[in-house]
Amino acid sequence: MLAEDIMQNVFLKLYNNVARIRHAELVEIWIFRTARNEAFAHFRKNKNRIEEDIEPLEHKLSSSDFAHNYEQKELIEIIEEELKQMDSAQSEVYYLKEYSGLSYKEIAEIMDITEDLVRSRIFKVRQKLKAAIIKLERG
Amino acid sequence: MNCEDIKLMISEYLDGELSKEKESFLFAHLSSCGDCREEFKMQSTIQHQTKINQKEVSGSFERILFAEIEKQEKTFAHRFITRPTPVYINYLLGVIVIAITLFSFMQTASLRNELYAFQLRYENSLQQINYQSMQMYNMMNSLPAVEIQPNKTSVIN
Repeated sequence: MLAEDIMQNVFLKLYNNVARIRHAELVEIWIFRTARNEAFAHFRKNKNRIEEDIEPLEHKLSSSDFAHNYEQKELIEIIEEELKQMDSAQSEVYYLKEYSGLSYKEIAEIMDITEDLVRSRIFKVRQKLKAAIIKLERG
Repeated sequence: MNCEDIKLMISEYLDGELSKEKESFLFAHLSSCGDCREEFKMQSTIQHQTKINQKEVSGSFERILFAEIEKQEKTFAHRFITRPTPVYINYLLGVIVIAITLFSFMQTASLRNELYAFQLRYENSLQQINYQSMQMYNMMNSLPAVEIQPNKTSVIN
């Protein structure tokens, strides 16, 4: 799987460079930053193959234990679709927050942006997702 | 503060970034505003649904990673042990050994010279002392003999 291959590389790099990381508390940020760079490098290298790399959503959903409920499945689907369509700069901040639990400050450091921008991007993503869900509910 | 600001505060609260003072203000507002309560519910649902869709790495991830690390370590050790030493390092080591040998030889030679000089000085001093003692002896023996006569006056008395 692509994401796992990238993460394998990231952890191998961490293993080789761990002595150079001066502060232990920066390891997490280092991992996310490297993962980000690795992912960008991969997509730059395989521009034409991005579509093939992305796993079909159906398969993903069927393998999830949580998505038994159709409504929930639909909700997850909307969120996923909506995030895919968003500008990557916005969705990336959102994923970093929701999946990693990093603080705004740490995300700002990883992405080289200000903390306020992180705050505003996450808020905007949530508002967009909310609008998409409301639109679906109204049919 | 209007409901738009509250929406942003809800987002910050869900991310654990809202200060305690603002938090109490937020909940005070939520208790009195139905729309914002709906907003809170919606944002919270979105966050929950996003989080449960998070994928875990496969069970083999760790095993593959450690196998890869082990492979790298082996490769490194192998390279380190079997790689021949570059020629210039051999030359350099040779030059260093020669330099150390020359330096030791020079040091030993200068030490030997110093020892020889000290020996000469010592022998000279010894000869001088012997010569002087001989002279003293001769001088003492060459003095005329002195006859000591007893004092007559003191004898009469």
